[in-house]
Amino acid sequence: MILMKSIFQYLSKNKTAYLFIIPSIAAIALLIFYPMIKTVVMSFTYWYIAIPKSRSPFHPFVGLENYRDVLAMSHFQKTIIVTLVYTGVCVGGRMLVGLGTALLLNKKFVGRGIVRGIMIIPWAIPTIVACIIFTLALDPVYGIVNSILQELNFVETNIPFLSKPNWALLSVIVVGIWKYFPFVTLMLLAALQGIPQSLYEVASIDGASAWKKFISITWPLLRPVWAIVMLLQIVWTVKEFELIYLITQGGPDYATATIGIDIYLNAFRFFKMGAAAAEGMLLLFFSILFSIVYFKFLMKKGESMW
Amino acid sequence: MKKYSYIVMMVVVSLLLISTIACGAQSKIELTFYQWYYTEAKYGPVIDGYIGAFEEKFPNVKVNPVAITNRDYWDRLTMDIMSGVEGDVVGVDQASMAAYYYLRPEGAFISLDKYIEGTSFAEDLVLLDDMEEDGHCIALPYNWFTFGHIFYRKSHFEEAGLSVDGMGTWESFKEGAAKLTVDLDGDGRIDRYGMTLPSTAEAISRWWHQLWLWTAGGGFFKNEAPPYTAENVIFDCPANLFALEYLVDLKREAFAPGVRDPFQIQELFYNSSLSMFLGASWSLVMVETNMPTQIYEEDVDIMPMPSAYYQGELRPPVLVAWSTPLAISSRSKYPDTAWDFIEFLNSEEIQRDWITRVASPVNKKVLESSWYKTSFPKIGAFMNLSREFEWRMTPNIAQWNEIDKVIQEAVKSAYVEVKSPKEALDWGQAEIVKIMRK
Repeated sequence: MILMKSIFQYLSKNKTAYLFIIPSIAAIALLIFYPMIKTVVMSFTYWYIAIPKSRSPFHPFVGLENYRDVLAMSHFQKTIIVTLVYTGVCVGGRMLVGLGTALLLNKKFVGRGIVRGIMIIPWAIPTIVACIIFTLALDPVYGIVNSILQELNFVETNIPFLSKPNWALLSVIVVGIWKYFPFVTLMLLAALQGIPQSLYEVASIDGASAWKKFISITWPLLRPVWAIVMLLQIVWTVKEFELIYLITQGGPDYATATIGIDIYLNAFRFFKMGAAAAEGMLLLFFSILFSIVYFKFLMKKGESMW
Repeated sequence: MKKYSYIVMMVVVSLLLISTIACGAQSKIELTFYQWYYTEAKYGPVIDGYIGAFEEKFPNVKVNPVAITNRDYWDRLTMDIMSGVEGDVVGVDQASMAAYYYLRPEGAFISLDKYIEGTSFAEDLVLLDDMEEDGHCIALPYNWFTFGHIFYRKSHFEEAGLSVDGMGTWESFKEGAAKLTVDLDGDGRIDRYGMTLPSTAEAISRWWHQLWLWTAGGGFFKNEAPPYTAENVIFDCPANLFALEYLVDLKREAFAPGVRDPFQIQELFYNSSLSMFLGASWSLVMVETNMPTQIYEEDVDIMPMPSAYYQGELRPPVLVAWSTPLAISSRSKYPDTAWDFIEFLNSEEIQRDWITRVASPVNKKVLESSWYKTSFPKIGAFMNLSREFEWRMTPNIAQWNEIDKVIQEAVKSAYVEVKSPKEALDWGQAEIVKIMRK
């Protein structure tokens, strides 16, 4: 009772502030919490729309059946492996290419402004446009990539980039790196520009090589931003859908089928909403688990990083 | 001042009243027409034509066709039905009608039984018997198609010294397709391919392979007839293995490399990079639209699929017939008007004047008339050729989308040689049984 009273008093004191934030809370509740809770509920109910068990809008509770169905899918293991490989290589590629580009763009040279603008293009191009361009470029009959490789005598016959499993996965990874490395570049470039030049000057006076400067000055000061950007990249990439779907639709033979693709197919092609929700929950669970472990790792290194 | 205020108020109220009455007098019933043809160059004017004719007959109705491509239509239809915002009149595919119907617990489409009663549609329309779901007729066909025959370029056949008669079996067809796969400029690279089948994961790709399985005596279910249960799945049967091994060989000899959907394959045909493709009656419209008239008239022709020589028996091709019927949304505010529109499209006049320009009519009074046979020589030839062979209808199974994915992945894994044909079919069999058991 006393607690209720003190809460009420607290709320009354700050009621104007709460009135201002109520619309935002309502929007977040509607657009984030409600779908999340609904998805959790769906993952424990029968939601196979193509074959309804009853005509009632209320779907019967089935416990862990959807989760069992997902784990029993013959291609589920392959989907996990593809997701891990795609995420690992793509994120690694973006971070390295992004870092390299950021370091280059941090140097002063003629036309730097123009190059910085051009560097954004992959990120600015709509994903559908980028995917169409690459699909045409990688075509084994008409594609420019095969044409160049043949002209340079690197290959004797055209490479079917999108119809052989390993080549297809490599192709979507390359496109994934190309499309999103500018974001990494921008973040790291901003962090690099926050490093005082005086530190490099002092290092130069002491006779430090470029590599030594990077290891001793650049990298320690860049690491906090690097850690955050990498975490974001991992969280965004692990649920990648549109880029892969537009190029290969998850094929051939599930070679590029990430979890995001599988969730889409289950929900909107096969109408197995329960299974799709269960798969989404598994993805969410592992994403949260990874984030917790990652942050714990960062906290351990806390003093040296921050 | 007070007097002037009253006058101003009276004028404003009068104006408001007049405009409301005027709006009410002009308001029309608006029907939204969902289909995937409006974006096609040849179909758009036809749709405008029959909508115009309908609106002339029913001046208080306005029909708005949506412009969605075939590739996007099915996902859009799923989302819209689940959101309750689909059109009043909804085009569906005969094979997946059930899946979309059950997207809402009460059924996404209304029963048409009461509308059909009292009409002569039961006698006049083909394929009407296949429109039942949940104990009712839920859609009405207004067009239909048959599939497939081989479209080929006569000039390519002449160059290669081939004749249609000499390619009547699977083996001779493969040899012919290999001969048509040529390096035209001597640079060591193939410039023209003999034949190609789609290899995307799109549902539609299943159709291009099922004809070969059926011709060999295989398929998906026993006798391709009910009951469609897990026990009756025959995907790993010897006939299917024979067919798939043949297709893998054919691919090695003659297919254009790369992942292509049916429309991309037709594009290879238009620009002379492909000599043959397996097409439907609707392919004729696309070929006519996309090729120069002279080439279409003089160089493009149709021949039947080859027969399979299997287990000592020459098996002629088995074809498929299907419709893209129209249903009325259970959320439509104007179901009676929507029915008027669907009924109008099945009338003899509209079938003859408009539907025949892009598809086969379903009204027998037009389909079986001598006028139809003589007025549309190429499609008439296509339909007449179709009548020489066995047709099957694609069964209405709710799980088709999922089964499609399995079939395509099985075939693709055999094509890219990740699995042997036997392994691919065994895998497919296990997956389809799992799906049917749910």
